[in-house]
Amino acid sequence: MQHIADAVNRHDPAALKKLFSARALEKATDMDRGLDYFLSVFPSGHMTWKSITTNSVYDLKSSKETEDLLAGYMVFADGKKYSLDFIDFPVNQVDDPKNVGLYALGVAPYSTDPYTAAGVKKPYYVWLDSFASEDGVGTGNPGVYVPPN
Amino acid sequence: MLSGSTHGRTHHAPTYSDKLWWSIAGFDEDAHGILRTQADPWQLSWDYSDLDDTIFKAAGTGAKAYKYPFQYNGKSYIVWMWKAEYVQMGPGAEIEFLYQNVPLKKAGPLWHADPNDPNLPKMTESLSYKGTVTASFAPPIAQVRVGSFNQNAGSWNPSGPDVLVRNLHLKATVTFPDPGMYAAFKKTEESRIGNLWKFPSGTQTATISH
Repeated sequence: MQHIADAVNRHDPAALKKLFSARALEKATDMDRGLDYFLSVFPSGHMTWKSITTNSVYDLKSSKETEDLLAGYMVFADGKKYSLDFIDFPVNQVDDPKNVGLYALGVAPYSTDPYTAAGVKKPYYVWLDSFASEDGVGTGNPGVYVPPN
Repeated sequence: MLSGSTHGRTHHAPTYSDKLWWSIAGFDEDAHGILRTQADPWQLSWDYSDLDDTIFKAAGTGAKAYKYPFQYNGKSYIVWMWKAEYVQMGPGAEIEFLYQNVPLKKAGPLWHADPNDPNLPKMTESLSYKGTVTASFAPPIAQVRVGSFNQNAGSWNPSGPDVLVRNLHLKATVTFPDPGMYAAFKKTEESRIGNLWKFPSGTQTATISH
């Protein structure tokens, strides 16, 4: 999270892009536009954050290991509150050695209710759910996600 | 991962002394050789950390561990689950409920067990191998640690099937007696990326499959 915040504070899309795994960069569509859009959420370039919690999955197979972090944060910037979530593989020897680093990163205005007034799940929560699977990536699209207004 | 549940022996079929060891190590063995965790074994006085999982590494076996921390009333809690091949104990699964007396942002690597916590959830687990239940445990009371292990399967047993962790399917339930704690856990998990927990309406139970 510190690395993400540093890249945001410097408004540096290249630094943010470097955090992503080779696999994510290979599979993501329009990563550069996504990075610019993500940074545009924080126009002043300054954010602080508070960890909500991080789930982890640790996979060990014949002395090889994979760790999958599913992290959620509350972020404060320009007087506003946001939810920021990401999937990160600090090590990935079991499943996909090319998938070490960030796999997916998303940000949305903070909300405690996953549903709209009409009872429809909000796009950001649909995105969060898309990664629900044993391997932590599921059908979710790698790269950056900022829901439409 | 249980501290002491692997004890450095090489692979062999359980002997009488193995069975005695199981009892001392905090397990009850049924007539079919399935081991299940006791309600209040002495090991609960030990702290739990990721270091326990290094035993799997040393044994060169397979394991998957899942950690679900959350905060309630200023304290940190964690639902910690494993499915693994536990060497002589065979394929097995565990689910544990642990705490730290600090908020999550101050939580460290060591988690504690409190078998006398009135808010201790009642938990169950069931482990299937290629679609057939190989071991399960649904204790009638709330326990810090709920686990079962099938000594009759696993790669240590030359007559048994080769077990790969990827062929093991774990189902677990956590039923919270405290509605506030249930709400805190539900809120945390429902807003989490990649959430797999389900919360059947009208209950204070969370269910998950891995």
